[in-house]
Amino acid sequence: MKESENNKSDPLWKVLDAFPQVESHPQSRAKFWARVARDEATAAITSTRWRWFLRIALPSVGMACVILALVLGGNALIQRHAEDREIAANLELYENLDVIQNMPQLASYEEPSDEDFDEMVE
Amino acid sequence: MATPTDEELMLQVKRGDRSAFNAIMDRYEKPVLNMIYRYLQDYDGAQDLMQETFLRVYKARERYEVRSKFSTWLFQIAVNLCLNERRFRSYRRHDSIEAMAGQEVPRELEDARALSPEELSRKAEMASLVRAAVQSLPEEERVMVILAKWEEKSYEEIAEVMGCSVDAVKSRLYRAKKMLREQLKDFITEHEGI
Repeated sequence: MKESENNKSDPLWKVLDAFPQVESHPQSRAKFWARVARDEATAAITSTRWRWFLRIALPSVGMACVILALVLGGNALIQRHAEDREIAANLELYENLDVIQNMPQLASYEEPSDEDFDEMVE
Repeated sequence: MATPTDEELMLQVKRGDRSAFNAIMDRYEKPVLNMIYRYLQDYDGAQDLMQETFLRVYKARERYEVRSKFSTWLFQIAVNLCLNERRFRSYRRHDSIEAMAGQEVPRELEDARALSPEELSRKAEMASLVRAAVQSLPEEERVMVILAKWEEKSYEEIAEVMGCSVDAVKSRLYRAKKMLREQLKDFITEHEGI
C-alpha cells in the first residue's frame, strides 16, 4: 500500500496493532498434504467408479435389455407361427370341433331323411 | 540466483513441482491465516479455511494462467471463503461468531514474559477491545480494514480482491475507520498523547 494510502503513523492503525498475529499450527503443512492426498485418492476412486459405470455397467445393462427383448419377442413369434401351422393343417377338424362345442348350432341341424341318408351312403 | 516470483512458482506447481507449492505456502501461510483469523476470530476455523484456500489453489494448478497478481487471486479465494463461512455460521445461531468471539482463546504470538502483570492486563484489555471493534464492522468493511491495515494492500488491490470499484473501497474504508475511531477513541487519545 502506498504511504499516502496507508499512513502508518495514523494513531488508529497503531492502536489496531494491539490485535496480535497468530502462528500456523506446527502440523499444519503435514495436515495439508495429507488432505491433498486424501482428496486426490477420493477423486480418483470417484472418477474410476464413474468411468466403470459409463464404460462398462451402462452399456452392459443396455445390451442385456436388448438381448432379453429379442429373445422374448422371438419366442413369442415362434410360438405364434407354430400355432398358425397347426391350425392351417387341421382347419376342417378345428371347424368341426367348433361346431361340436356349439350345442345350439348343433341342435339346429335337421336330422337327415332316409333319402338323404341313402344318397350319402351311395 | 534470483528468488522466483509467485507466478513463476505457480507455473512450476502446474508442471507438477510440489516443492514449489511448499515455497508458496512458506510465503503466504501466515498472512492468509492471520487475515482469516482477524476476520473470523476463531483460530481452529481460521486454520481450516486457510487449508481450504491453499487446497483450492492447488486443485486449480492445472488451469492456472498468469492473468493477475497471484497474491490477489489467493486473497480473493480466502475472502470468498470467509464471507461464505460467515453466512453459513449465521444460519446456525447457536454456533455464531458472536457467540464464539467471547469464548475464543487466541493463540497469539505474544512474548508475555517480558511484561509486568499490569502491562499484561492492559494489553489484554486493549486487544479485546480492538478485536471487538473490528468484529463490529460490517463484513465487507471488516475485510477491507484487514487487507489495508495488516496485509498492506493498495486501494486497487483491495478493489480487485473484493470485486468492487476503487471509489467504493475508499469510501467504505473511510466509514470503517470512522467507526473504529469512535469505538477506540480512548486508546487513540492515549497513543496521541505519548
